[in-house]
Amino acid sequence: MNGSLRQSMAWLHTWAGLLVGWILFAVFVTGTSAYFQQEITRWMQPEIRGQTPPAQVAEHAVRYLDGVAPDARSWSITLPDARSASTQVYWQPAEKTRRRRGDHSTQATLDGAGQAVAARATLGGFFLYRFHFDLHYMPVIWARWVVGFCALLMLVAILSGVITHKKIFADFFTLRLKKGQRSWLDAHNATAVLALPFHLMITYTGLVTLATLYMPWGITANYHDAGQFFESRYPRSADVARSGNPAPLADLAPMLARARTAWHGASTGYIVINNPGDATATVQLWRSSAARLASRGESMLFNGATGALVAGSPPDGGAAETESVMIGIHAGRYAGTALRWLYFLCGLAGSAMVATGLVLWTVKRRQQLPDPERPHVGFRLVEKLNIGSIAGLPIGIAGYFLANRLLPLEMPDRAAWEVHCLFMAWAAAFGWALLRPAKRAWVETLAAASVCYALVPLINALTTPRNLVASLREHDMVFAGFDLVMLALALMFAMAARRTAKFRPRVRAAAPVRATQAAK
Amino acid sequence: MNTLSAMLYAFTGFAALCMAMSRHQQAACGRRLDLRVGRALRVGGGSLLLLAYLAAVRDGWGAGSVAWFGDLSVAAIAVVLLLLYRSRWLPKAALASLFAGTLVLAWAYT
Repeated sequence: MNGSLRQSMAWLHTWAGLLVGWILFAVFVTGTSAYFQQEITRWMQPEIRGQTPPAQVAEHAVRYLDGVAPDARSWSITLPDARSASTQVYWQPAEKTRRRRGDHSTQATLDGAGQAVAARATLGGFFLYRFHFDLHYMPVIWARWVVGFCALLMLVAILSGVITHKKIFADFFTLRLKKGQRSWLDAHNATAVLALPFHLMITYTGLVTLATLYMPWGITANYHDAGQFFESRYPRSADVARSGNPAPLADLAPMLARARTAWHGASTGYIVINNPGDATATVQLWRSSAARLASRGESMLFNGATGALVAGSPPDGGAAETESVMIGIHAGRYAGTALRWLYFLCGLAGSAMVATGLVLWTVKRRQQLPDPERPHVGFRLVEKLNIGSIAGLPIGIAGYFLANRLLPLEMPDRAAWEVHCLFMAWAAAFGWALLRPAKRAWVETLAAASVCYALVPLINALTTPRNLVASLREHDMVFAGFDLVMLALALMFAMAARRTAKFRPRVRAAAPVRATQAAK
Repeated sequence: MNTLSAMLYAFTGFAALCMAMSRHQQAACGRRLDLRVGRALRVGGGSLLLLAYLAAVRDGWGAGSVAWFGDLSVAAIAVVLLLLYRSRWLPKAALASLFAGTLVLAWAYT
């Protein structure tokens, strides 16, 4: 029983992992980068400097919105936290407003003084975060189904991997290099087992974040339609028409203070003001998702004209709180700097786990090939997909950062074009991998990745004043840290390229002709 | 600070668990260790991992518990890398880490 269970788990682990490995690698890499999405966004908007003092931020935002859209249907304000440098405001114009031609924007980024910042248009780190479950160039629902399917098979792969790993304790500290397939297996085991709690957590909680999509039957069994459920779970203030009686918006400061007290010191993250300047105005405050382990924040509703509290959101029941905590642990928004780096390192381990697993498949199968010079189609496909994903995606991300610095600032649709550049760079790497023989392709794409990442701080220095030396001098750890991580990645890819170039596959003791061919 | 001391204790704990395993003793200690020493290292190593948990949850039960798992992972990977590249340093590094972890914790308390 034991023997065949391990064997079947090994089979399940191999094929579950292989089928979704390439998408999973992309999800892991972009998801890992998302732990620093706000820092990445700050790097990608070098025009914005400094920390926003939290105290008057809400008032500044209200003053700005009153100047720019006093009769809007609603204003939304995303307040900055310790990690973001700016305030995001968004407004819903009144229905009858005829927008001036060319003036399409209904959002702005505000700096510490409440002035709109002319920062370059970019999606920043937010794009990488959204990509890891929404992918791109497809309806988000499709993407979430694809990613959810991959996550489910990931869970299967983790559990089957643990079952099939017979010597999980004996091999716990074992890592042998330069031993071919054994080394790849050791690396795959090390990156998987040593961060196993993280991998289990991230996969399971990831599925939980979209549980209402994958398992909607609880809702359909209990609610007439899904909208009712979402309305009761995430109540919003009702859309009331303007009464036409003007009333100045009450001061936000006492509302914010009251919320802070009610939430035991947690600050507000998000404000929605309906019908500002009217007697029917309402102000709804949401607790910042970074303030507590549970990510979904409580809310409080105030009368906008008088400032009186109308309602606080009902306390979450056990299931809702559990879900909220699970999502909170997945996203790690509550984490301080040290814990955030731990999340990031574990995410890198997860990416390495997927990558070593994919490569291990080819290393193992190559030895079983009847003719190593002419592998069958399936093997070649896996080999090319490996190169295109493991070396290609990093090239794409570096391309995204380079595009941020190099695309003209006044370019229309600049933010979308930065993203196109990511995929164009990735596609170029993929194309190169398809055209070249496998080992050459690995060496060349890894070397290209190294060059691209080394270029990022260089182009940064050439196109902005916020270069690495200046950042270190100013103790600007966000910019300095970003540039240093880019250099570290460049070094890592260079070492990988060199190792791969020097690699001489051990050939079977066959005819000497084959030995010289393999050494090519 | 709490994360740092937890990580240092976890490093010593994993190093002890590593040296308790006969297959790594030659590399780390230069000789095979007595069975009783091995058992003591296992108990000591496990205790240090628990001690690391107590240090980590000084940041709060929720965040601290999550951080502890991350500290364990980082410490374990550090032990693996040290075993790979400088295996003879492992016993001394374990002691130094224990000392440093206590220092950091003491400094955090004052």
